[in-house]
This record gives sequence, C-alpha cells and structure tokens, in this order.
Amino acid sequence: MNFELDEAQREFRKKVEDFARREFTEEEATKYDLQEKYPEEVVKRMLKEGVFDYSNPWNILVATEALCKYDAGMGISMLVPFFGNEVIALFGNDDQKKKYLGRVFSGQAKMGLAVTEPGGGSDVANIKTTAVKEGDHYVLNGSKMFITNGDIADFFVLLARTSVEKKKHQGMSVFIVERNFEGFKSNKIHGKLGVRATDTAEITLENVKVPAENLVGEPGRGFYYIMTFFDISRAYVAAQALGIAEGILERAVNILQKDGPITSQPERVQFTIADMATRIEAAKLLTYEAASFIFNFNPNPAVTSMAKAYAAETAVYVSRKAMEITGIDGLSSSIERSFRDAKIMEIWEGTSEIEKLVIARMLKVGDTQ
Amino acid sequence: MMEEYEILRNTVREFSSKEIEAVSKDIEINGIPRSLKEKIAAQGFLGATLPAEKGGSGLDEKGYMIILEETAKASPSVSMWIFLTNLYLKIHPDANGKQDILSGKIDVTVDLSPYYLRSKAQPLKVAGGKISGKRANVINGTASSIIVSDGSSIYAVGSGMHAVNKNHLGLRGMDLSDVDFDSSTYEKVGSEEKLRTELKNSDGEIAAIFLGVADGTMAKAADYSKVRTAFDHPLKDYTPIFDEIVAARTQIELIRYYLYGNQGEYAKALSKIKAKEIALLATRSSLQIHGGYGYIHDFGIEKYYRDAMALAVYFGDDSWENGIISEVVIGERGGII
Ligand SMILES: Cc1cc2nc3c(=O)[nH]c(=O)nc-3n(C[C@H](O)[C@H](O)[C@H](O)COP(=O)(O)OP(=O)(O)OC[C@H]3O[C@@H](n4cnc5c(N)ncnc54)[C@H](O)[C@@H]3O)c2cc1C
Repeated sequence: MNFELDEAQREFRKKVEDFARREFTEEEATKYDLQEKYPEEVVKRMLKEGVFDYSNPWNILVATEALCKYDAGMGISMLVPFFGNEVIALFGNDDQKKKYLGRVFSGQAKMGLAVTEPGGGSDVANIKTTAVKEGDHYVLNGSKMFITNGDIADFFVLLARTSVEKKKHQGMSVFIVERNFEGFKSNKIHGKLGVRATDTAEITLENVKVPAENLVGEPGRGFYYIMTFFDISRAYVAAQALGIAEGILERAVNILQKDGPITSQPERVQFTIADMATRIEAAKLLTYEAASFIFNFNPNPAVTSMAKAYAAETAVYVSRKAMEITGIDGLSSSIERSFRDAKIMEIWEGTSEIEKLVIARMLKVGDTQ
Repeated sequence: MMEEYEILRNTVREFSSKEIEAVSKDIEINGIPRSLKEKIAAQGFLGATLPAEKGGSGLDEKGYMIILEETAKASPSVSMWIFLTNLYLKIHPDANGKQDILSGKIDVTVDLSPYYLRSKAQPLKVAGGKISGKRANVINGTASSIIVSDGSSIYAVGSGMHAVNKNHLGLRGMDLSDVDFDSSTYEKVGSEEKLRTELKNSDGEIAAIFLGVADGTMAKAADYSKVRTAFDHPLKDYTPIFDEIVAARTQIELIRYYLYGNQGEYAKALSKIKAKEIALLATRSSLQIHGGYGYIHDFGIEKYYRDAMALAVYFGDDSWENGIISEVVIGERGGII
C-alpha cells in the first residue's frame, strides 16, 4: 500500500496548480462569480497548455482536485467541456467516438449530460422525456432541468424513455442530441448559490428528430449506462469536494496565522482545525481508494458513493467551520465564495441521501453472526 | 396578556406573508423597496419599544421579539433592517429627523463591525470638529445616518460618509459597505458602553431573528416535502427527511418556549447560542430537502443558507454569553484557553 502520488503525478499536479494560481486570481474568480459567466478564454488556454490530460484517469482526478482547490467555479468550468464523455467512450460505437469525442478532446466542441428533469433528479427511472422511433430517426419530446453546459454545449448525452416496460428502469435509452437539431431549446438558469462560473440551463425538446445512428449502445439499456457513468463520475465529484475543502482549510489557516502561530489560538479553534484536517485526510483516502478501484477496472460502487458523500459532507463542514473560526475576515475573503460553492457537492450527481441508499444496498459483508 | 401576544403574532405574520413574502426574492437582488419600508413603519415596527410619547409603539421586549421573528421567516434582511433601525432609535431616541426614521422615509444604521466575530475594527478619530476614519463591513452603510464609536463615545454621523458596497454573503436586502468617514455633521450620543450594553441586552432579539430564519426555511421544507415526490412517494414519507423536519421543529419549539418564557441575561444568552445553532442546521437541511431547486435563487431557499451563516459571523462572538453562562454553571469564569 502506498499513500503517495508517484513522481510523475506530483509533477503533473504542480503544473495544474501553477496554472490555477496564475489564472484563477481573486479578481478573475470574483468576476466570473458575479457575472455568472463561463470562462471560455481560460478554458482555451488550459487546453493549449496541456493542463488537461484525458489519456490518464489519475491525471484527471489530480487535476480536478487541484483546480477546485483554487476555485471551484472556474475549476469545474475547466473540466465540464468533457462532462459525460465516458458514456460514449464505454458504450458508443466507433463512429460516435470519432465524430463526437474527437471534437471534444481537441477542444473544438463541448458536451453535456442531460438526465435530470423538472419533475425529479434522484429518481432517474421516473423521467418523462420520450423518444419514439419513426423510420431512420427518433422523435424526442420533454424537458431537462439543471443541465450543466446546457446553454453552451454543442451536444448532449441525453436519457429518454423509448418503451414502457414492467420495470421502470427498463425501456430507457441514451441519445446524442445536438444543439442545432430543430426543436432543441435551452434557457440559462440564473442565480445559483455557487459554482456560478459554470453554465446551467433548462432544456426543452419539441419534436426533435434524432438520427437512429445517434442512439448510444442498445435501446432499453440507458438506465444501466447512466448508472455506470455515475459510478465513475462520482469519484471525480469526490475530488472536486476534496479540492474545495483543501483550499478552504489552507486559506483559513493562513488568515489565522496572520495573528501568530496556530498554537496561540484558543484550543476551541485548534480543535476545529484538527477536525477539518482529519476529515479532509479521510475524504482523500476514500476518494483515492474509490478511484483506484475504478481505474483498475474493478469499480466498487459502495466505496465510490462513500467517497462522494463523505467528501461532499467534508467540503460543507469545512466551509462552515472555516467561517466560524475566521469570522469577518473569512466572510470578506474568497472563503465566502467557497462556502457557496461547497453546498452543490451534496446535491449534484446523486444527493447525499441517494449515495447513502447506494451504500446500504451495495455493501458487502461477511458472515459474522 | 398571553392573548395580546398571540394577536400581535398573527398580525405580524399576516403582514409578513402578504407584504414581505411577495417581494422577498426581489429584495435579494434590488434591496428592500422604500414602499415596503414605509409599510413596515406604518405598522409601528420601527421604534417598537419606544414609548408612545417618543413616537414609538410602546411594545415590551417580547412583542418586539415577535416582530423580529415573524419578519425573519419571510426575509432575514428585512428583520435585520428592523433590528438596526430600532437599535439606532433605542440608543438615540431624540435623533434629528426622527419623524423620517419612524415613517420609514430614511434609513439609519448602527455600525456593528467592532463586535463581529474576530473583528479588528480601528476606532474612528474625533478631533477639530471632525470625525474621520474608515470602517469595513458596515451593514446598510449607505444609510443617511450611522452610529459609530471612537472607542470611548458613540456618535450619530449624518453626512460626509462615502460608502462602497461590496458583494456579500448574506442579508443582501441591505448593502454591506466599507465606509470612509470625513464629517463635521455629527452628534455625540453617549458612551461606547451604552452601545455595548444595548447590544448585550439584545440577545433575546438576536435569538428571535435566528429562530425566525430557522422556522421560516423549515416551514418551506415541510410544505415542499408534501408536494415533491421521488420514487413514487412524497418526500415527507421518507424517514430521513421526516426525522430532519421533526428534529428541527423540536428544537425550534423548545427554544421559542424557553426564550419567550424566561427573562434575564442568562436565559437570553442560552437562547442566542442555541438559536444560532438551529438556524445553521435548519438552513442546511431545508436547502438539501429542496434538492437542485434549493440551490437556485428562484425558489427563495438559498438565501436562508447564506443569511444564517452571515448572521452567525455578525453575531457569532459568544464570549459575552459564555461569560454569563460560566458564572451560573461554574460559578466563575471558564473557557478562556
Ligand atoms: C448547479 C447544478 C448543476 C447540475 N448539473 C446537472 C447535469 O449536468 N446533468 C443532470 O442530469 N443533472 C444536473 N443537475 C441536477 C442534479 O443532479 C439534481 O438536482 C439532483 O440529482 C437532485 O435531484 P432533484 O433536484 O430533482 O431533487 P429530488 O430528487 O427532488 O430530491 C429532493 C430531496 O429529496 C431527497 N430524496 C429523494 N429521494 C429520497 C429517498 N428515497 N430517501 C431520502 N431522501 C430522498 C433528495 O436527496 C433531496 O434531498 C444539476 C443540479 C444543479 C443544482
């Protein structure tokens, strides 16, 4: 067992941190947060500098953590142009990979993943969007809610119902839907609490004709594909949460240290810092463990959900405690923004409640009586 | 007497749901509208505890707490605005332009920044007929008159203030400003001790604001849990969600019962600490129960999450309360290392 990143990973992390330190300045992060603007230009520079390395999943994880440490809104904005790519990579055919993923990885296009609907996000099997086959294409109708990149992505991996079966999670299929297909509309959602640099929109589909060749994998298997995706992506969300928590702790400690060494603080404050740091370390181990299972092609959904839920809880805990120990200094610093960002971690890609249900269901125990 | 409080509570609740709730989301973006301020004034919520001959409503502390609690349920910003206006008038009951303050025509505020959690505010300077200096993070710092301290006395300053509003975490119905003071229009109001004492006596009121925040957001969560379904059942039917709603409710009721049923600084100190805690807990629960909708402005839930944290920073320094509690529980000072 080795709890360290190897040298190449450490070097890569340093490269990412250098980029984030240079690009995610307080001024820039404040601007994108205030204006709710997607940092398009920064994403371009990131791609140019090769800060993003999609050939190596550990590097994605390391980059996610490092970027979010500096700023979650901008950090996640760097990562989301590729959001959902694993669905096509795992279940799509060669033509789809070439046509769609090629453009995404070269930075010519952005994608998104559209599952949630106004009527519900947790209960994925209950979505109402329909896809009806007519000759060589499908006709899609329905609406999608809270879709990241919804207003800016060129195409989406989208879940719809293709048939009504006895079991609700059967009869669902995944399609690649382009923004320029007729009948596709998006409406940007304003006023998010945090991660305001990221783009979020509602999508409506009105008789959208999607060519049959844009069906991903087999019809009726969509629910399974999306759940498989979440079992991977949740490790990345855990890394987002971990990065946020690490960044907040660092900034809180640096604020306090302006008054002298941490040991000169009341023990109440020292204990809080100790708790924050301990939880972060535990969240890191869980996150890396979940990732290691996934990257070794032996995913463990219970551990992945533990990592996601625990890291999210840690980010929120750390954000609140940091505010308590730094007071008005924290409130007037970038900790304020991180406090708002952190809360999304407990909601997207499976709320903490849903993660707990997964953990309980997937937990494997021995036969101790 | 009991009945009178109930009548007052119902009146404020009705006003709050009719007049404040309707504009509560807009308040977060555009501030508290002047028209609402004037309506609040017409209800007698400003100068709530001032005697009638001073132009006030002559309410006792309990009545005033009811106003703060019930308005905080719909808009913590509005409740805090009422609190600051009342605090100003309590300290400075014969202020110039009092009629305009009492009728909601102009804003006044009290600079609380020296009392925030971990504040390092420097005293202002008073010399040569001028008051000057800088204050960071003044709530409603664009007000027409601000009560500030120079470390030994407090002054009501009526001009020569330059306020720069900053983007801020909570209570967005008012600005949070860095204010430059350079003024010859000021009036000495009393000693710094007077403001400190008034603030210390406000623990019950601050508890009422926290309680209103907690109750307001949890009531919305309870309502939502009835209409939102997941996996074919309303959210209220799921034990974890139900338990959270019940846990919050239990604490809110107990704190309210204790707060309104007891007098004296010890009871108020306990209430304030506990009410702050439940406000932080309930605002997180409520946002979570609302799922993605809890995270966006349109649903009017995320503001409670921000406001509770901001209030906890503004009123979070519990050293005074801990001192009182320590004297009662331990018999001497404790909790200092
Ligand atoms: C900024 C943002 C970006 C997003 N990006 C995307 C995206 O790119 N693509 C996408 O598809 N979706 C996206 N989402 C949606 C997100 O995944 C959903 O909000 C989330 O899954 C929760 O769904 P919901 O909001 O419908 O809440 P609901 O499912 O209505 O849940 C409400 C509450 O009930 C709880 N709950 C539900 N069922 C149970 C149960 N059985 N037991 C106990 N508690 C339960 C939930 O945990 C939650 O607390 C985004 C959301 C946000 C806010």
